[in-house]
Amino acid sequence: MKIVFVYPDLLSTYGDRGNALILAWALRRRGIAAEVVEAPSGQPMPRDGGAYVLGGGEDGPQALAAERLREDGYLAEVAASSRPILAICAAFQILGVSFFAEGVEKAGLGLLPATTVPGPRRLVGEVVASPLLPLGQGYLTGFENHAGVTTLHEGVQPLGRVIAGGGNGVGGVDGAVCGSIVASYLHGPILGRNPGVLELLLGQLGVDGGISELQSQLYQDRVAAAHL
Amino acid sequence: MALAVAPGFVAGRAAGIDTVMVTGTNGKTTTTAFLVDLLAGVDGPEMVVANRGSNLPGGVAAALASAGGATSACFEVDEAYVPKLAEELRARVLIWLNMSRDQLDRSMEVRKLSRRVGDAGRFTPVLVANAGDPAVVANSGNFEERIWIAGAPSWRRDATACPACGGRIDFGGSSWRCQGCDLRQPEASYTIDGAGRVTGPGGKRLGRILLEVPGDFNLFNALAAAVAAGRLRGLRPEHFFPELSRVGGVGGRFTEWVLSGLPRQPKLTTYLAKNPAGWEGILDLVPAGASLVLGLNARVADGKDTSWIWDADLERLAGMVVIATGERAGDMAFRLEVAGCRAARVPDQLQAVALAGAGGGRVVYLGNYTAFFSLVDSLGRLGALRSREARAGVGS
Repeated sequence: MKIVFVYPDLLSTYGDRGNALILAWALRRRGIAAEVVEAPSGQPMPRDGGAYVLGGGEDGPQALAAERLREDGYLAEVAASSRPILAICAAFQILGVSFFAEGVEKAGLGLLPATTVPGPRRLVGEVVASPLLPLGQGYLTGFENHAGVTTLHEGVQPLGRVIAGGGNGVGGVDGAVCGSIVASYLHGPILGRNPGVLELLLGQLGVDGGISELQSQLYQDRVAAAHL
Repeated sequence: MALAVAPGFVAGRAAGIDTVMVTGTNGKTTTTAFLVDLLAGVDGPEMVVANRGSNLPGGVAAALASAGGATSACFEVDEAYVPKLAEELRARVLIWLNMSRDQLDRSMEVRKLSRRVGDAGRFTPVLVANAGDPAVVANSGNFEERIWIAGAPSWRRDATACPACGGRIDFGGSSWRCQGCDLRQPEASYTIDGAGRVTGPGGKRLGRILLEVPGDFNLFNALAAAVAAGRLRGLRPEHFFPELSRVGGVGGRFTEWVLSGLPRQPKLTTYLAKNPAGWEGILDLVPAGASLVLGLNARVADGKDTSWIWDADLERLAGMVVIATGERAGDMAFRLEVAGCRAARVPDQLQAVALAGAGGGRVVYLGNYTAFFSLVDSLGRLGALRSREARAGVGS
């Protein structure tokens, strides 16, 4: 199975590439041949991906990425075919209806009913949340670094309720889960620090079973460090 | 360093001192050490003032406070403070090594930071810089004189979209160019290859730099120091090549130790690197068969976000036994597992090094900032002796 890491030249600033590496690794651990394929911007998106992973980026590259994704158009087909899309931070905003880059409002892809506006201050630091879906883990943790406030439209399922940190910056929640799209502000990367989110994506791919000992320890480390 | 600096203090103390600033994400401290040594050879050891690692304005002010009668100054400067200090110091030369992601939780993002560094050209006339880095080249327009150096291939993932137009940068071939605009690699006045051979203007062979410290990136740093020192003192860069071979690592960087307190007295080499580009550069140096220990902390000085370890290509270590250590050993151990390593998680750094050395073979330790210094501070407790001391006057 190909795990497509989308636009590494524009959306790869905060270690979110790790999500693609972890997803491919987890599939291989379960006996499924899997590899990460990088899809640079300006070229047609690979059609044969099993899952698509998008990460954070700076304002300028974010606006360019949105433009090129819209021109390409294929991500909408990925969503329509219910293949998993994981979108973190800048990519979360791009998948929504609209967002701001360098102070200017930009159209998003409209795959996720959410709207992002600039917030009063940059949200930087550790985030702890409690999952609002059955994830098999008590807490979500990650590191956020963004200045957006993302409002989920009526009826959209957030990923977690924020206990510490900012998350979406409004409504006391982080992330969104909508069809096969999982979105969040959490870096870390999210699939490393949160085995339950990894299992959520694996479940969408029809695969289940087993977290590694080292990943389980990492999850426990980060929850312990949150001093709850 | 918390230091209240009176307005005008730095400018007043720096007046009449010929100053070189060193900035960039990787290699500031070592390049500054090279530069101090070279200028000391010309001006005299007592005549050169420098900071060591304290690269914020307070550190520069503290160094100047004890700089009676100095004739030249070498300051490493955090990227965010380059224009402010360029103005106050009236620095004559800026060495700009590279720009890559580092501690994004507290720094500005790479593009904004690069633009800010470029503003220093309004105060500092001469730039000695890396022709291979588009983020540097795109923001160099303010400098009166630009001396380009080409050397080891530099970190590229931050600059694959053009910093000027957002187009794609093509790194194919011997130099890079943007496919969307006019930005391209400038012709380098000086180039250095992996064997240290230096070519000057017009393709003239200028000789060879041999270093005590390893790595292509250090050869580049050494050449940058020689070019800057030469420009400041009206000497040819090659004048300094012999001297460069005598500079050791700074503060335990690139230092070899003998773990004499352990039964088989294994050898340990300690490396410091703080970001993906730095880690990849060091990992290229690990000899086959060495036991590798990777230390990770996430204090303020390190950057509190450890996500960057996923941007470093640790897959090159696949199949190796690697020990993860430090306060964020758990993050590192899982990173290594995904990279295909046989990873062990040993948070206590001394225990990790002792375990790696239990077989008596060579141990290589690479850690980020506070992890590294905490290990170097505590090696004495393990009965470690330095087998290659940093040179007196540089390794303090």
